[in-house]
Amino acid sequence: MNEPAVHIEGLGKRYRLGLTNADTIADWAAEFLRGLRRVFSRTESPSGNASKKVENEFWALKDVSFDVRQGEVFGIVGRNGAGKSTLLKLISRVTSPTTGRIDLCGRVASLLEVGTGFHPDLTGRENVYMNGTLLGMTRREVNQRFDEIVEFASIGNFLDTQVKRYSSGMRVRLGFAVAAHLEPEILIIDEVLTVGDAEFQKKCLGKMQTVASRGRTVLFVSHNLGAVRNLCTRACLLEHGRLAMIGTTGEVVDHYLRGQGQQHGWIKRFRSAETIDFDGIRVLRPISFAACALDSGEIGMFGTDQPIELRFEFVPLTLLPGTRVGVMVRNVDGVAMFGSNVVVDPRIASSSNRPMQVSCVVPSHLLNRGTYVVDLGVDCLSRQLDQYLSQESLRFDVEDVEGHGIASESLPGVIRPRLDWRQALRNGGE
Amino acid sequence: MSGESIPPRDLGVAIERTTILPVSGWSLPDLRELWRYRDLLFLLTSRNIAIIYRQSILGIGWAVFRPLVTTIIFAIVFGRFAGFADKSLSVPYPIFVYAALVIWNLFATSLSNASESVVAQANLLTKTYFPRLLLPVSAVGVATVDFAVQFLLLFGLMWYYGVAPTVLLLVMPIFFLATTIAALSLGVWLTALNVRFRDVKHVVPFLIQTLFYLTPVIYPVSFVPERLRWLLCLNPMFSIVEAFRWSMLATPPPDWSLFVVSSLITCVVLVGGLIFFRRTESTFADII
Repeated sequence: MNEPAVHIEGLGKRYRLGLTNADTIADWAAEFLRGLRRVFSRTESPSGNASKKVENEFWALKDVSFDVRQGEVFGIVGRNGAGKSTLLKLISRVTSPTTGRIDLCGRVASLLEVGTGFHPDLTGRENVYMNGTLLGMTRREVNQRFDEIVEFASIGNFLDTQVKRYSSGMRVRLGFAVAAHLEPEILIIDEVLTVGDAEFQKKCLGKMQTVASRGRTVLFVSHNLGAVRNLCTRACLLEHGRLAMIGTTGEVVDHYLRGQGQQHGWIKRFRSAETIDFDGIRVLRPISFAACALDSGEIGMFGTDQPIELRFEFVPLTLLPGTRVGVMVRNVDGVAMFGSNVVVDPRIASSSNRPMQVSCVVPSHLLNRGTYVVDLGVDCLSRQLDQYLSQESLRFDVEDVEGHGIASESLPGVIRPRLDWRQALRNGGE
Repeated sequence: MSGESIPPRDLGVAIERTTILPVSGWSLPDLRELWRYRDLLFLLTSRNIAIIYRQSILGIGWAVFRPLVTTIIFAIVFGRFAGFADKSLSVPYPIFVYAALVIWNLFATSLSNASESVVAQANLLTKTYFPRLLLPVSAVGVATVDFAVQFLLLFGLMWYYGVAPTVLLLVMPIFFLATTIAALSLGVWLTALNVRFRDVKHVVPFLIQTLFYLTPVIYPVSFVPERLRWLLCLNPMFSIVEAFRWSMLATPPPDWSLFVVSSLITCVVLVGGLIFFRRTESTFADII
C-alpha cells in the first residue's frame, strides 16, 4: 500500500476575468467581433495582444505538485486568496484543472459546506437522505447509519418536521451529523468546523479524530493554526497559487508565521534627517523601531507562545540625563494593555556615533490573539514638558498557535496567561 | 455495518481510483457513472416533486386544472369560433385537443424545467461533485408526474366521449419515450448554454410557444399544406403528437417517413447536446 492517497502533479487552474465571461449573447457577439477585427487587422502590434491577454487571466494555482500518503492528516495553510479553496475544489471535482493531474486512490468525500442540498420545505429525514447522497453515500448506506446520524445531531422529535422550522443550530448539527458519518477513504474538509456552539464543536473534533485514527486520509484546510497543529501530521503552504513549502506541520506553520510578518507596520524606519530634540538640544537620531522575534529578524506576526522583542535603534547625540525610552501597547479597540519605560544608560552609548539599541521583551503567554499597536515615546526626566511621541508606530499580530479546540474564536480575554493548574486529592479525613 | 467498529479492509474489494485531468476532446458522458449515481437522481427528482406540491391545497390537482381549462378555452375559441371542429375529425374536438395537450405538456414542461435545471441548482454545483447530467434528466422526471396525472384524466375523458381504447394503446410508451428524449435533446443544449448566456432563459418560453403553433395540437395535420410538412419535421414534436393521438384515440396515423426523419434529427441533436454538455460541464462551477 505504498501508493499515495492523493497524487498531484503540475496542477494549475486559470480563470478568465473581465468581459470574456460575457453574460449575454449580445456581449459575447460584440467580443467575438472584436476578436475577429484583431485577427484581420495586422496593424495591431503583437505585444499589445499579449499584454491584453495577460490582464484578462488569473492563475489561482500554478504548478502545484505534492503527494499525500495514505492515512495522513494533511493540512493546507495560506492566506486568503492563496488558492486553498481552489485546490480543494479541484480535488473534489467541482471544477476541472487547466493543467496537470490529480490521482486519487480511494473514495473521496468533500465537505466544503455544511448542509449542501438542504431545502427548507423538506423534513429533517428527507434532508438527511438528500445531503447524504449528495455527499456520495448510497441510499443503503444512509439507511444503515440513519439512527447514528440522528443521535449525533440530537434533534430529537423534529426529524419529521420541515427544516425551515429548525433553529440555525439544529440545521448545522444535522448537516454536520450527516457529514460526520461519511466513510470515505479520503476526506476533504474546508473550514466548515467553525460553526456551532462549543459543545458541538468538541463532538465534531472528536469525530474527526476518530476518522483520522482509523487510517483514513484527511485533507484539512484551515486558518486556525491551532487546529492544524493539533490534527495534522504534515502540511503544505500555498502562496499566490504556488506551493511555497511542504513538510511537518511544525515547520510549515512556523514558516507561514514568519512570512506573514512581511506586512506594513512591523517596522518603522525614521527619515535620516530626523532627530528628537528637547529644548533645542538634539538628543538622539532615531533609526528604526521594530517588533522582532528573539534572536531573529523583524516580523509582524507572533504566536502566543513567542516572546516579542520591541527594539528601538537610534544614534545617541547628546544624551541628556534622564532620557527615557518607553512603549505603550494597545489593542485594536484602543485599550491600553500596558506600558513600560527605561532610562537610557549613558554608559553604553559610545563617543563615536555608533547606533544603540534599547529593547524590551514582552513575555510569551501574555497577549491574547489579536492585532496590537505600539506607541513609542521618548522623554526626559529632567525636562518634564518635552516629550516625543510616535503614536501607533508599530503594528503586529498575535496568533493563537496552541489551539483551543477547533473553534476559530480564541479563548476570551485580553490577556492569555498560562496558568498553573494543580490537581490532588484532599489530605486527611473529616 | 453499524456502530463504531469498521470491518477490516477486504483486499478483495476493489479500490476506487480516480484521475482528474484537464478537459479535452469531445466524448459522450460516462453512462456507468450515471448509473452509480442513480440514488441521487431518484432523490433529486422526488425532492423537486415534493417541493412543488407540498404545502399547496390542490397539490397534484394543479397538474390537471390547467390543461382542462386550456382545453375548454381551445374548444370554444378554435373549435367553435374558428371552426376547427367538425372538420372530418374522427373524434370530438375537445378530446382531440386534450389528448395532444397531454403529450405536448410533457414536452413543454420537460424542456422548460431542463433548460433552467443547472442554473437553478447552482448551489449544489459549487460544493459537490456529481455528474451534472443528472440535473436535466431529473427535471424531465419531475415533468412526468404531471403527465401521469393528466394521462389518467385522458382515460376519464375517453370514457365520457365514448372513445374506446384500442390495442394501439400498447405502443403509446414509445411516443412517451420519444417525447422525453426530444425534450432532453434540446434541454441539454439549452441548459449548458444558459450557464454562460443568461438570456437563454428568455428564449425558452418563446421557443416553446412558437413550437406549439407549429405542432398539430389544436389542428390536424391535414391543415398543413403538403409541401410544408417536410419542413415542419424539424420540429421534434410534429409527428410525435399525432402518433400519440393515434395510439390513444385511433385517429389517423402520422406519415411514418416524416416520423423517422424527425426522430433521426432528434437523435443527432441529442448526441451533439450530450457531447457539448460533457465538454462544458466542468466549467459550470466557474461561471455560474
